[in-house]
Amino acid sequence: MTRLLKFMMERKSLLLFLFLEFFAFTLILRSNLYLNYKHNHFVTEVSGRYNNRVHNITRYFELNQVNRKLQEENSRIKNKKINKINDSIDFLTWKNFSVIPAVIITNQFQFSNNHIIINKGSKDSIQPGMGITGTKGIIGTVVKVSPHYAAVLSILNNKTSISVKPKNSNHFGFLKWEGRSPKILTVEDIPLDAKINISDTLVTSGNSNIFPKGIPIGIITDIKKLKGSKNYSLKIRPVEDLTDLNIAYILNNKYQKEYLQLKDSINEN
Amino acid sequence: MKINFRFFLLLFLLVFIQLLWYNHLKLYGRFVPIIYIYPFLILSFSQNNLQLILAFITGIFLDIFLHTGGIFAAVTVFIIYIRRLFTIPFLHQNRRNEEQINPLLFSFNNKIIYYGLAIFFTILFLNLLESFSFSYVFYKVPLFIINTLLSLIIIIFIDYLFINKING
Repeated sequence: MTRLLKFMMERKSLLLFLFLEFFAFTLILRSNLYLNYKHNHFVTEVSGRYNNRVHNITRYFELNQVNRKLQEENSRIKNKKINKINDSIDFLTWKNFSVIPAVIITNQFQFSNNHIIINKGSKDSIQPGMGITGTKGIIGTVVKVSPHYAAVLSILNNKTSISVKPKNSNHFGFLKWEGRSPKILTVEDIPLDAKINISDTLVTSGNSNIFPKGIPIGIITDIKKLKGSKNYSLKIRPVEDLTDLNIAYILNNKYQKEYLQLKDSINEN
Repeated sequence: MKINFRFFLLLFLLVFIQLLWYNHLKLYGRFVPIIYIYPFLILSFSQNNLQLILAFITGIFLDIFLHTGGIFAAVTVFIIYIRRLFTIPFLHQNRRNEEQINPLLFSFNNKIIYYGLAIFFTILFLNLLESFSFSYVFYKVPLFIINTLLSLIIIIFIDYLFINKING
């Protein structure tokens, strides 16, 4: 016993190092399970409050940019109203959704798993699983919620897998991010039967019920047919500049709970 | 340098700037200097246990605000624990094992090597733990070198303008 204590005293620095590393790695492993642990609310709320204060100071320098984006969006909405009759099918999927506007407080894009914090939380009826769009296209899904803030899993995240399709066809594939550049996303699993060209637009397929059908995602910049594969591998440029986000819209599917219950009951059978 | 009020002031300031850089400054989304670790790098090589605990707390603090689990805590503790190894290129083994080495007294060239290696490995391990992908990390090595150089410029600037002036 004395020898053990002596050994521990001689190597207390190493033991402390191993203990702290063990603790840190436990946190990393737990956070990889989509950060579903107890201090979830606490972490989101604390970082949200701090970042909100900093954002309140920095936002004055960005007002011109925000105004320009809102003007662009206004004109796009006006154009969409005119073309509404042509978009009647997309309109049917949109009617299940309500839209909640929010301000983006922080936007990460330096990591391979990036998060966004918005200034709306559970008190504004925000729940994990809701989709988020910017002024032009999708930007992520809500993963954590505190009373006043929400953490969003950005599409610049290597866990991203969103169902997408070419605007003029119904063959769908999955949106991914390889972590290399915020200007390049990839799309896998679109079958070779689909007729696609460079500069075509990809939109949400509406399959997941998180996003309605037809929200723009990106423009095709490269098309590859992989040897031995029956699918395309596409590189796309996102329509939304994911390094420069100010405004977000949270999409609340009013019937999402009902949809998930139905899906679960099918799986059980 | 010892762990005193000046150390905590510098640490608080650099952690604040680090968070600001990660969350609010843009620089094309690629260039992120790592400066929060500097106050630990200039501590003398004694008082190791207290340094490890402070490194862990600083790391956890960054993890909370950057939503990175425990990545910063793990890497900061690791780098502080092994930082003696970054003196291998310029210190003899006997000298390296001395308890009271003060990094602030290194020559300019030795400081560049010591800070440079520490920052490069901090960036490398942060990215490795964050992505869990060697291919991703190898692809990003040129960017890590640029970020290391950017961090070095800022750190040498702080070192010469503030720290050396106070010590001198």
